[in-house]
Amino acid sequence: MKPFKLLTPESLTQALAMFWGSEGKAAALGGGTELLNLVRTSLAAPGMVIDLKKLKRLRGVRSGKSGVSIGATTQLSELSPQCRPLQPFAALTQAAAAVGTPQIRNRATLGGNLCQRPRCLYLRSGFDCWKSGGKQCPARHGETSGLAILGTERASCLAVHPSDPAVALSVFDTRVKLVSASGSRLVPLAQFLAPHESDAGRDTVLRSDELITEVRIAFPRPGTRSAFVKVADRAAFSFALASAAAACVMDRGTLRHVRLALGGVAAAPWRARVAEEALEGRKLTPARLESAARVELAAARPFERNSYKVDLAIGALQEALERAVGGKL
Amino acid sequence: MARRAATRSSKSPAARHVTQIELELNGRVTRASVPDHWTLLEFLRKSAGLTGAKEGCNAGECGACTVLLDGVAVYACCVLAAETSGRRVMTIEGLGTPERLDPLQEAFLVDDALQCGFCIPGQILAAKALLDAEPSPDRECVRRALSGNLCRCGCYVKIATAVLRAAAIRREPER
Amino acid sequence: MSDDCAEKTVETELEIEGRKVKVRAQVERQLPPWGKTTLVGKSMRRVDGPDKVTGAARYTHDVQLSGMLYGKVLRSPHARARVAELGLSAAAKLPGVLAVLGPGDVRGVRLGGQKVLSAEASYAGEEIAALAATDEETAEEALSLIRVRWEPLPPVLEPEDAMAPGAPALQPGGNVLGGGFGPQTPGKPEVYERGDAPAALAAAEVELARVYETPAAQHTCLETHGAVAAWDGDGLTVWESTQGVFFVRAALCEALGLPASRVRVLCPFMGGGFGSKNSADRHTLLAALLARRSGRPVRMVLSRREDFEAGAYRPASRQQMAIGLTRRGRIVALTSRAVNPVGAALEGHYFGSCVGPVHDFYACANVRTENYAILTSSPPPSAFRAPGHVQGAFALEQLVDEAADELGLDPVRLRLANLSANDPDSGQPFASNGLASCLRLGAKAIGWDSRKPPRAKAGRFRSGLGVAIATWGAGGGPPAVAQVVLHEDGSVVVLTGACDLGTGTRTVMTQIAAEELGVAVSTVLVANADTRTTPYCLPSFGSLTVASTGPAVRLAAAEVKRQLLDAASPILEAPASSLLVMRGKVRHAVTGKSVAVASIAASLPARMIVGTSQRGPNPDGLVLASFSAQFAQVEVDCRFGTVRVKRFVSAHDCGRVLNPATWSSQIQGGVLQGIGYALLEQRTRDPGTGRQLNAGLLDYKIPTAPDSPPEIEVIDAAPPYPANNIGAKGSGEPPIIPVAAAIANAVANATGRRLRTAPITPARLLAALSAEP
Repeated sequence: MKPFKLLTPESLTQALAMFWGSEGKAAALGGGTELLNLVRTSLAAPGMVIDLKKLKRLRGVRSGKSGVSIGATTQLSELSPQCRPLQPFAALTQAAAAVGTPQIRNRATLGGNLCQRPRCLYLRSGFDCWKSGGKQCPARHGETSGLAILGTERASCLAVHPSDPAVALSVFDTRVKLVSASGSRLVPLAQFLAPHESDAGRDTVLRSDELITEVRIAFPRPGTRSAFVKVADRAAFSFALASAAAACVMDRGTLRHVRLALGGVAAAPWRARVAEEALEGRKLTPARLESAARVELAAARPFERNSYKVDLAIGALQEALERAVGGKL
Repeated sequence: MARRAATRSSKSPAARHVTQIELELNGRVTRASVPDHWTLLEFLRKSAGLTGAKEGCNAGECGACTVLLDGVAVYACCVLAAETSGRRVMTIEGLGTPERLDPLQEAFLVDDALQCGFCIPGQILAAKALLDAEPSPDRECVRRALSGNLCRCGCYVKIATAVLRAAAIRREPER
Repeated sequence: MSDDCAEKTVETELEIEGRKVKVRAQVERQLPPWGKTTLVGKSMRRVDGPDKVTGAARYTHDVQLSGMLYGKVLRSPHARARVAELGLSAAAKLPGVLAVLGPGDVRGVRLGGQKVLSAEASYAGEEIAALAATDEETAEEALSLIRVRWEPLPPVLEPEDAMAPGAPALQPGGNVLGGGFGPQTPGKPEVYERGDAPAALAAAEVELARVYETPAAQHTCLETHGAVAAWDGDGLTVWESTQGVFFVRAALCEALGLPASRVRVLCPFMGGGFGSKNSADRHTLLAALLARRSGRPVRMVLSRREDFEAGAYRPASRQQMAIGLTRRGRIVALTSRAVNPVGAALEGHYFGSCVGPVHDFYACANVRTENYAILTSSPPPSAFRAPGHVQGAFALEQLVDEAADELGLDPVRLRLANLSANDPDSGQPFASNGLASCLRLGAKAIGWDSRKPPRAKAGRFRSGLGVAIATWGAGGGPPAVAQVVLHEDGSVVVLTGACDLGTGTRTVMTQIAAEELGVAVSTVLVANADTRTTPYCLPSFGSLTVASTGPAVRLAAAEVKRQLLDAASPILEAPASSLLVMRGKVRHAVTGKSVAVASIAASLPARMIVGTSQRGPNPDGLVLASFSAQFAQVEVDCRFGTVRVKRFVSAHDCGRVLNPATWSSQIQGGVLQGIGYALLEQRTRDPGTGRQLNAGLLDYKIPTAPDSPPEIEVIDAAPPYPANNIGAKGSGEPPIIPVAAAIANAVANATGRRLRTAPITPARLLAALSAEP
C-alpha cells in the first residue's frame, strides 16, 4: 500500500479544516473496508487519510420529530432490527444485514457504503475507464454480464451502483447532509448519487472539501411496511446481481403510497415509478404485481449477457412487495 | 492514545509517517511505532511476531485475518494499525495454547473441523465473537455468522458442528 | 534389510492423475494383512491439530528470517507482447533495493525447460522482471520505476481463433497440441479407440449427441503460492508452500546446477494445493536467484491477484459427445471430441485428460475419443484435483442421464446395468470394486425411491434428485521410502518426505506406525517434508500419498519391530517368534512376561533401532482404482434461477479407511469444491485483451459456509482391498469428480431443463427456464 499520513481529528471543525487544507489530497476513513482497497489497487492515492471515527457526532442513530438521523460513521451492524428508532424502516435494516459479511458489517459505515466506488470488473482490474479518469468504457464491448440495464441510453459508464442500503433508503424520503468548512447542505439521496453527466469519473456530488455527516430519513406514513430483497449467486461476500426495496401502506387490501426501488440494474438505485403508478390505489394481486414489474422493466436495454437481470429485477420487485405486505397475497 | 511522531523523510517509504500506538494485545499492554499506512494485519505479522492471523487476500475478501477488536470480529487487513491505539485486540495466539486450549479450539479438534488449517484461526475467532454475543445459536445462525470466512478445503459442515459443540461446552456450569 | 528379496527390483505400473507410468520397484517383504486393528480405522484427532487451532503452525507465508528481503515481480499487462526496451536502473538505484533481475540476467536459467523471466510475454501476468527490497513498500515503489516499452501483439484468446487458418503461431510447432497431458502429437488430436464406435453408433437403437462446456476453474488455495529462499555459502534452503518437496528440489537443482545435497526444501505446513503446487514455480527460482544476488534471504509470496492472474487453473473444455444404446439401456457406443484451451502450455505442463471418463466409467465395447489441446494467449494450466475427470464427468454423467430420460429408465439402474466387472480400458480385473455398493447405499441414503419426474413438479421452488459416478486410478505405488526410528527412551519418529496438505497424512502415518509397532500414538512423532532429513517420495498428488507412503511406513515399522523382538528375545528368554508388542511393552504371548520397549531400546548397543523400507511394486494384472457414487438433492428457485444444494450423499470405495474423521473431512471438501465448480466458479477474462477480470476472491466466487449443504453424508462402501499391505486406496480426488454432474442432473430432475454449461448460474438457468422444453 502506498504510504500516507493518518490524521485523527477530535472534532468536526478540526476535521473540516483538515479537508479544506488538503487541496483535495485527503480521503475520509470510515470502516476502511473500501478505502484501503482503493489505495492498495491505486484507485486512490491520498496523501493523507482522515479518520472520522473519533467524531462522536457522526456516530449513532437518533430519533427526531420528523424522522431519524443516522450518523455517517455508524456501522452497518448497528442498523439492526434491534435498533428501536429504525423499526419503521425494515427495508433498511434488511439491506444493511445483506451487505458483505459480518466482519464487513462490523466495520463498514453507512456514509462509506453510500460513497462506494462501483464494483465494475474493469474498474477494479485496473482498466482505463470513465471511473478511473479515462474517456472510455472497456466493458461496453467486453464482459457485459454485470452492467446496467436501465438508464443506459446516454450514460458513459455502465457500471451499477453497488450499495444495498442505498436501494432501501430510496423507498423513503432520504437526505444526505454534507458539511464543509464553508457551510452545509441537505441533498436528497437520488441527487447525491447523481453527479453531473460531464463528471463521469465521480459517483456522488460530494466535493473534496465536504464530509457526509448524517443520513436523514423522514418517518413514513403510519402503517407503512417495507422490505428489501437481494439476489446474489453466492450467499455472502456478494454484491447484488439485482435487488429491490418496497414500501407501502396496505389499506384494506388496497395499496397506498407505494414506493419501489431497484438495485444492481442502474448507475444509482432505480425508482420504479412506472410500477408504483400501476399499483397505487389498486388491490394487490399476483397478476397485477407481475404486470407492474414487467411494465417497469420494459424500459430496460440489456446486452445479451446481462439480459438475465431483467428477469431478476422483475422477480425482485415482486418479492420485495410481497414481503413488505407480509406475504398477504 | 495515539501520539504523532515526527515525520521525517527516510530511506524507506514505510517510515515516512509513523504513529506511536499503545494497545492491549492478547491481554498485554503493547507499545509500538507503526507506519501510518500499515494495517493491523501487517503490524501483527511483521512487527508483533504474531502470524496466526493469515493474509489470504489483503482485501477483506476471505476472512483469514479475522481478529477481535474490542471483542468484535474484524478483518485485520481492513483496519489500520494506528487506529487500534487504546483498544483491545485478540488474535488466535491470545485464545489458547496447544497445552491449554479454549473450548472452541478443543471442539475444532474433536470434530476434525480443519484441514490445511490456514483459515482456521479466523474461523475460530469469528466463532468466538458469535458465541460471546449469542451463547445458544442454531446451525443456520452459525453458518451465517461464519459466512465471512472462506475455507477452500471445504470444512464448513464440521466447523458448524464444532461451534455448536463449543457452545454447549461453554453453557455447562463451571465445574 | 535382511530379506534377500530386498535386493530384487521389478518393473511395476502406477497411475498418477489418470496417467499410467512404469517405474522400477524393489520387491518388498510381504506382511500379512492386519487382523483386528486398535488404531488404524479409528477416528483420531489430527496430530498437528493443536498447532493449527492455536496459530502455532508456521506456514511458508509465516517464515521470518533475519535480514529477509521482500521479492516482487513485474508482470506483463499484455496477453501477447514483446519487450522492446526494459529500463531497470531507476528501480535498482532506489535505496533499499538490493537485487534486480531482468530477462538478460537469467538468460541461461531454465525451469522445466522454460525461461524464468521473459522478454516476450505469452500471457497477461507473465514474469518480466523481479527485484528484492528491504520492505514491501520499497519493492512496490521500485516496480513502479521500471520502464518498459511494449510492442503489443494481437492475442489469440479463443481456441477457435487459435485453430483458424492463418492464426499466428504461438509456438513454433503451431497451436494445435494433441492430448490432455501435454504436447504428445503436435498438430493432431490425441485419439483413443477401442472397437468401432462410429459403426456402433450408427447401428445403435438409440443415439444421443450433445455438447457440454466447462469453465476455466482456479485452485484458489487460501495460502497463495510462495517461497522463502536463503543461501548459506553454496547451499540453498527453501521454504515452499508445496505438495512435493522433492519435485521442488529437483527443479531447483536442475535450474541452478546444484547437487541435491546442497538444496534443502521444507514444507512443514501448507495452506492448500489441490494440484497447483506440485513443483517449483518461477517465484521459487526467482526467490533463490534474488537471494543469491543480494546475499540476503528473500521472501517471494504471490499476492492474491498474482495468484489468480499468473497462476494455474483447470482448463476449460468443449466436449461434443455421442452415446449409442440399446432400447433396454445397454451402452454400445461412446464418442467424444474434446477441445481444451491450454494457454501457453509446454511439455511438462500437466492438466489432465477430459476424455478419461469416457474410457473408464462404463462397460462399452466401442469407444472413440479425440482430444485437442489448443494453445492460446493465456497462462498455462495445471493439474487441479482429478484433472480432466472433473470436466469429463460433467459431460459423460449428464449424457448418461439424458439417455436414461430418453429411454424412460431410472438413472441409477441404467448405471448399475452398465458397470464393468473389469477395467473397461485394459480388460484386466480391478483389485477391488465397490462401485455398485456405492450406488446402492447412496441411493438408499438420499431416498432415491421417492424421486419424481420433472412433470410432477410445479411452482416456484422445485426439488430434484441427481446421481453421478466416478472411477479414478488411486492405487498409488513406488517410489516412496519411509524410515522409522525407535529412540533410547522408547519414543518413535517416523520420517517421510510426504507433505501434509491438510489431508491428515501426518496423522494416518502416526496411526500406521503405532499400530504396527504396538505403541501408543502419543509416543510417535511424524517428521515430514524436508529433503535434508526425510526420505524420498512423490508429491502428494494423484490421490497417492496414503497408498504409496502408508505401506512403506508399515514396512519400516515392521522392520523396527523385528529388531526389537530380536533384542527382547534374550531378555525374556524366549524366541522372538513368541513375542509381541502391546501397549509399549514386549510381552510373551503365553506367559505374559514382559519388558518395556524403552528399557530394551536403552540397552541396545546403538541406543536406537532404525527401520528403512520402501513401497513395493503394485500387483501385476490388476487394475487399482477408487470408486464413488454421489447423490444431490437440490432446490431450484425458478423466480431467480438460483440453486440450493439441500442434501448431498457421497459414497466411496477407497479401500480401508484409516481415519474416518480425516477421511470424511477430505470427502466433504471435495464435494464443496465440486459445488463451487457446478454453481459459482469461472475465470472471467476481457475478450479483447485477455486480461483476467475476476482475479480476486470477491469476484472469483468459491463457496461460503451458507452455500454448503447443512450436512454432507459420507458413506464407506469399500470391499476389502488386497493390493497393498494397509488395504487402502486414495480418496483425495474421487469426491470432486461427479459432483457437478450430480447437481446438473438434479437440476434437470427438478426443472426438466438441461444445463450443459457449467457453472449453472442464474443467467443460464433463467434462460433455460424461459426456453421451450
